[in-house]
Amino acid sequence: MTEIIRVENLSKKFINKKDKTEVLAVDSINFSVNSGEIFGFLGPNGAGKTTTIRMLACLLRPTLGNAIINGMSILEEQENIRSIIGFLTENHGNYETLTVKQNLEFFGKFYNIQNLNERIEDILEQFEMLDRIEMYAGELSKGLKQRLALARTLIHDPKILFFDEPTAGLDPIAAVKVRELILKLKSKNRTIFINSHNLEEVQKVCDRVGIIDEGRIKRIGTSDEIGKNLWEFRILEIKLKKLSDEIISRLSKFDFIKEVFLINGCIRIHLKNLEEFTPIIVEKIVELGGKIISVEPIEYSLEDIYIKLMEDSKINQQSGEK
Amino acid sequence: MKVKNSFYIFKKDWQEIYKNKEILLPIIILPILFSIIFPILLIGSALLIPPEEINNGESLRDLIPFFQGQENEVLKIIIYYNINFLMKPLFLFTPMILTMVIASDSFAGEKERKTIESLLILPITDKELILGKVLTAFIPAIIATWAAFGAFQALIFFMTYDIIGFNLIGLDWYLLLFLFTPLLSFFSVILMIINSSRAKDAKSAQNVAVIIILPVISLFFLQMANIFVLDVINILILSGFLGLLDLLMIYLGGKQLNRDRLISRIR
Repeated sequence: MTEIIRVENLSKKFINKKDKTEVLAVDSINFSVNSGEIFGFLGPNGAGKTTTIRMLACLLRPTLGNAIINGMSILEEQENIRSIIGFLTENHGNYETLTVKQNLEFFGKFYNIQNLNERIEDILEQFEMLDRIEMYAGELSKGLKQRLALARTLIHDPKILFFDEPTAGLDPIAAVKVRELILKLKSKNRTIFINSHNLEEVQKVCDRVGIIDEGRIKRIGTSDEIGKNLWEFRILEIKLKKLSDEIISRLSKFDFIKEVFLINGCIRIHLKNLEEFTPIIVEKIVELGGKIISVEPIEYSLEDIYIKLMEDSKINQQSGEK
Repeated sequence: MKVKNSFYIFKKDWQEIYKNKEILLPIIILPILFSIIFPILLIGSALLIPPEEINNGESLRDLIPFFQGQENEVLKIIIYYNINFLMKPLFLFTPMILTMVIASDSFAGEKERKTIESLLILPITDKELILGKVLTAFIPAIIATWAAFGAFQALIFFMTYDIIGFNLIGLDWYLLLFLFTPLLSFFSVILMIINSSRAKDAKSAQNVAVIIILPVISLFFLQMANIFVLDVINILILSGFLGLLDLLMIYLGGKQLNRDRLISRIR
């Protein structure tokens, strides 16, 4: 896979005009996104997500550092970069007093699209909105407004897409449609960078995830990769044909096991090294006459990982303040 | 620089303005008010004054001496005064208010309607974007003012030529409309666009309007009191001064108006 976005020590400082204090919104971040990948960017409010996406889309100039988008520097080739990207803003950004067609015509004209009218009809057909071509954007439902915004973002068939909270405020059905579209775009080898609060959505559609907090990247990788070494203990779930108190009390005595408890008729064991100790546990259960139906490690969800990272960050911040 | 990109923005803005009554109404009403309603009222009121009262217009004789000894002397003086003293500075209000109303909406309106990011992401330069916004306010204000002037000129000709005996609209008017007015409009547009880029909404962007309105109102009273008259020389001097101010505004606009500053103010 080739690298299509490379971020190098990117920083952005704002100056608070009231008290002249400096706010470091993004602090020397580094990461890359591969061509055809869906990359999720997670973080709490004020973490630096929007500032990062705005710098990558050449809307904001970085204070320090650089980013290379499809071989072009955001410091030098802003217009060229903007011509190959699509940016779906958090607010749909449609002109509400213009019709659907006028909106697409306006945005389409800047990209030298041959036969723009045909392209507009084609994209509206894809988004099942052709029958609404003469409607004013302000008359559309929230879901349809978002679809129009997506159509506008895709009018020039961009190579790289930046989506800022693409399903925010949408009803579940409209949100599913947007997710389906994102996956459809991936199948067409488009690179997609998603800023989101919606962990479930990110887990469903993203190949890799970056977690940012206080302007710094905390973790980056696949869900499995970013969860690695985050917890001291892993969880093993064992389902037995018949539960016995003896098995539970004997397992609790192992010094490598932190805790054993029952949940939904299964034994859940917190232990340090899953790979090393699982065979020992299985052997012990069999020795005690237990009949095993299944043995499964419990994977942490992206939500678990995110919450853990944010909690750790808070603890570090508090200990730093002390 | 691709000027066609600026015209795409101009066209889009006008498609929006066409649907916005708050902006559209002044664009229609102001030129009618200044080119038709006011002149009819001023000339009509002069014609309605009883002849015996007209003969008492001694103070105006000193102000406008060239009708002395002519038939209907004071009536002619009053009409001349109304058109050349009262109406001349009033005519400056049309482009000034129109540019203010339109230009204050330029960036602040985009922020208010949350369309600014989708506009700024377009593959155009900052200069093309700003030129588009300047054209949106400047072209209609000038066209409306000139159209109003055309109507005003015809009206004045038909209403006063038989009484006065010559065309009241002279070189001073042409200089005022075709030199001074574009320079004043340009100054007003840039000032309002800079302020609009910093304001949260179009209404708060209008708070600097006083910088432009006060001098024009002063000009109106100075001219009424015959202290500073908008004659050919004075219009040329003021135009030179405004030309320099416009150059300063181009410099300030270049410094103040860019994507980075516009987007940094959006949270």
